[in-house]
Amino acid sequence: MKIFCLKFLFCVKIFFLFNIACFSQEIGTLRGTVVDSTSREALPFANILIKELNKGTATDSKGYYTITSIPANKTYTIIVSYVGYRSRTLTAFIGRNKITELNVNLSPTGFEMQTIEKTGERIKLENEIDVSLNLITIKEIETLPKGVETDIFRSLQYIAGVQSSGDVSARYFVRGGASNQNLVLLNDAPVYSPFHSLGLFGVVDPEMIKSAEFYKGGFPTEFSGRISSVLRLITKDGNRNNYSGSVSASLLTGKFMLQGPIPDGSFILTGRKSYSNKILKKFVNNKNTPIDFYDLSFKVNFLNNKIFKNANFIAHGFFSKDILNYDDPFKEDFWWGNKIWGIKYYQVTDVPLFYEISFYNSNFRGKVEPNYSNKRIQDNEINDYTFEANFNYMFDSKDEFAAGFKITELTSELYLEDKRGFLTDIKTQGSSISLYAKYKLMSLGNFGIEFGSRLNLTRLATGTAGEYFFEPRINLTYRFIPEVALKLAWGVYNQELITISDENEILTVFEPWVVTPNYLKPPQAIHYIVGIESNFIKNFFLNLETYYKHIDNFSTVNERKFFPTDKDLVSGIGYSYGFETTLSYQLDPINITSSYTLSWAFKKIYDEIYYPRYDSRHNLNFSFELNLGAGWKTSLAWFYNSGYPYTQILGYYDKLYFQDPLAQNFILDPYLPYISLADKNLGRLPDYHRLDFNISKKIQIDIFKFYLDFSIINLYDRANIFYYDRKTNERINMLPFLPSATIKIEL
Amino acid sequence: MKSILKLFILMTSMIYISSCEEGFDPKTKFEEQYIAYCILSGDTTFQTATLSKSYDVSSSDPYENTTDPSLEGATINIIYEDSTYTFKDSTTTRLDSSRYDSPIRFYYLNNFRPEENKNMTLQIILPNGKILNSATKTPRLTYFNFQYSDQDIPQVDGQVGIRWDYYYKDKENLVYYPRLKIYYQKLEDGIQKDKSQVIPLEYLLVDNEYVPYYPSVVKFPLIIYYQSVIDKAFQDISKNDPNKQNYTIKKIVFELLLLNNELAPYYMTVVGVSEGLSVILDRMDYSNIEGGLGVFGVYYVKKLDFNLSTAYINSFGYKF
Repeated sequence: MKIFCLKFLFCVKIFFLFNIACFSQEIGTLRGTVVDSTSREALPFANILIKELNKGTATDSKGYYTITSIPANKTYTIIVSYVGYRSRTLTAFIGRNKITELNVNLSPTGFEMQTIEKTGERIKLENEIDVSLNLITIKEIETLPKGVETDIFRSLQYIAGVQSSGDVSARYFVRGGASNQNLVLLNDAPVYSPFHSLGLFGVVDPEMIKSAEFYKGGFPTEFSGRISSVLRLITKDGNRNNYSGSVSASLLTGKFMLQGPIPDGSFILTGRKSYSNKILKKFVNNKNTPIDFYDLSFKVNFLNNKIFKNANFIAHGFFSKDILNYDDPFKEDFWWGNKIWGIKYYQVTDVPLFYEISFYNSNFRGKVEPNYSNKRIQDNEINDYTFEANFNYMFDSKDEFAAGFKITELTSELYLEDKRGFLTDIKTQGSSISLYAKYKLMSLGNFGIEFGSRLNLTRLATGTAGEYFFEPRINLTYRFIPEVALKLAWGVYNQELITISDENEILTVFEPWVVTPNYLKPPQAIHYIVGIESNFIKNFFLNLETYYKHIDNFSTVNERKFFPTDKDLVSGIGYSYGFETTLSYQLDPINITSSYTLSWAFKKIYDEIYYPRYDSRHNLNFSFELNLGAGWKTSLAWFYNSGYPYTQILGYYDKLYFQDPLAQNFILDPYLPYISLADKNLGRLPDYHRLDFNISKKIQIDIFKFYLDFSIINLYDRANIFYYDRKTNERINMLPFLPSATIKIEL
Repeated sequence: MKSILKLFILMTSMIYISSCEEGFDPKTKFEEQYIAYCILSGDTTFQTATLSKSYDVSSSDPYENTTDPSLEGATINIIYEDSTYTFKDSTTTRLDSSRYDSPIRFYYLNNFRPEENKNMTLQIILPNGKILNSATKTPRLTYFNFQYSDQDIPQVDGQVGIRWDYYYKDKENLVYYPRLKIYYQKLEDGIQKDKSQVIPLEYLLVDNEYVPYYPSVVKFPLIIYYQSVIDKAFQDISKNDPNKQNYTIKKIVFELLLLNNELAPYYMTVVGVSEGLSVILDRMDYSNIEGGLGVFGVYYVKKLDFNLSTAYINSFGYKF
């Protein structure tokens, strides 16, 4: 390890010297923020273009941007644009070796505009390193057909490489990985249970989200803890100019949002509560679903240049709870919820150094109360306190060096009785200390490379030092002609926290979390990604990616635990590969996106190889959005995937059921028909396809803004099979033709 | 105009076709399998086994099969202490002939009672020459006792705690099926008739009515009955009958069925777990029959007779 560290530091030093030697020229830097003029809310992924140089960048998730290496002593025309906002053209003088601050306010386009202003697509550096990254704005999500609720997690299924388990669940599977291998971060704190109501909806209300970054793989070194994907959600900061609020209602929930200025800052408070279960019945085969849930989020944003110059202090919190109470002693009850709170300090220094220090606590607790049913008891709690710091230094050459550390103190408790009556009582308390460093070489124009590694100094299961592991990662972009860029990524990813999930359970109330026990190695994945990005034709964007993912030691429930000495969990290997393509056409007022995925996923446990439940060979999505003007928008979305695997029936046999074991007459005891199953998941369900429609209208009357939205799921009422219930010989279909509407009033 | 009409007809047809429910066959090509159940009693010398084969039906309803799938003509051997015991085949009257009208075929073995802590193997030679094998081991029951259990009813502290102790509980996967039973006689038409009543663990109030809740299979070696529940069970024996003197209480017995290492996981998979709102597709199954399905295991019944107080029995108006 020592040798590796020394080599790494040596490389870093060489790059520092390289930068100082080569780039001490007559150049300057432009930086600043882009905010909404009405609320001063930062706008993530807004475009900043220097017209004379035809060079630009986009703001980060905090609305911050930096453009380095601008030839100095000149005045430039700066064009700033963002989806849904009027573009602005400004001028800025760039001084030699100086940082020029240019903070820009953008005004939202009016509701009643008849013509739609062209805002253009996001500006990217020609060597931007963004393989397998999707940046999602809430405005984009709002345009798509919603179903019952606007849902960030459900919107991910539009992305190539993301599989859903159908209409019923918002759980998603990325490039052959299991759903518990997806990291969901809310203001950088992990959300352990990101779903409400049996996974039907995400817990994160899109109303509070400012930006969403979704990595399908090859994610950078600052992210850790999961091996398949990362969804990073940043909440809004709140309106710094005026107090405002909104209320909205769908067929399932009622929501509110309050925001406004506070001395030297702003706040935002959002809440959502379910009030009707009628619509949920459509999702769960008309079963009674007495689910009650809420979520509540707040953020307080403090900026005072006298106290914290060029700094931002944030306090945030998120609380969610689901209760499933039958009010029947012979039926089990459930409750589960998240509690997250944290503070963040973000500093921009006079040298181009940014640093962010965070402390947060994320807690999940879920419990199954069996009452007098034969459901088994389950009680799970996971609680982590994390302190992390991230530093990012930007050289004049456009290169960046980033480093950071993360210290987590985690406790987890799991008490459960499994289906065979075995009790599991696991209590773990451990610390995780990890460091990372990466260098982003961006100075070579058409070539960009980011390389670095995480170093985990401890293992949670052992609670102490002694087991360390590296997670080296490399991402690069090479734009060999202006219209085409080649992108590559390779990386090693580890995951210490896993869920006790039963693969056969396609609808789960909640999944308990545990630390990978000592007798198993933590799951580890290696991602190999090759991509080509092209925009040969104006307004057309083509992205092709192919990947191979190998997972070692993925943990799952030991289906063959028949004796007390058998372990609760077993590990296996998994591998997946595929090809993804995304083609989009964006020319206001039309936005067309289509994506196709050809993929294979395999798992191997107990020396048996099988297709996991979410393996689908072909996946095709198509969306068409049209801005009709005058506040009207409409969209159509069509999904297709080839059938998911299922285990076929091999035959039937008469099985002995002990009706009264104490009667001790096993000859006369009832022998009832039982299904004999063929090899796991060798059959395929029929193909799935569905067309959704959405139309929305925004109206402003006096100081009130009304948002009316009408959606239809499964417009042509396709009978898509969800599963076959072998007990009742019943085919259970997914959602039928389902219209829904929402109304939102904003003040 | 014609082309627009054609396009409209084409799209309408496509949508109509797409919206149809696509056919789906949950079955694959049928393969015959053989199923053996050989569940030995550690308390008796009479042992039984059944043998059958799997079947297929044209629909998805297995009850469509009305041909008895049991197999005759097989050779079933138990190899125990270097000796081979061969089962004989026989039939008995089927009580429920709604599905199969033929007599129940079974195999039996007389004068065989396995001792504790013994290994046994089962070998089945099917009529077609195929061989099924299995093995099991009896538990070490010398180390089983009720010594820490309450022995008297009623209990003044309001609870009757029944605890059993098994020295090898950490090493062997026994599960227990408990019942507390009142054995009594009722004078009917001048004749004393033997009867029994299982005492529930609790009475639960559901829709303004008390519903008995009986203990299920347990792994933890302790069960507690509330004295009030036992009292109510005694009262219920003669519910709505004013002639309490017609009832004679014989005894209260706690009966505990012990399922051995191989039988326990089978039983647990059969008992199953409530799915509630969750959906579980491929249910787990357990078999220790090599080359087939079914189970080969051993069970024992342990009993604890409670001391009953005459005054307590008389308080219900019963004789003792």
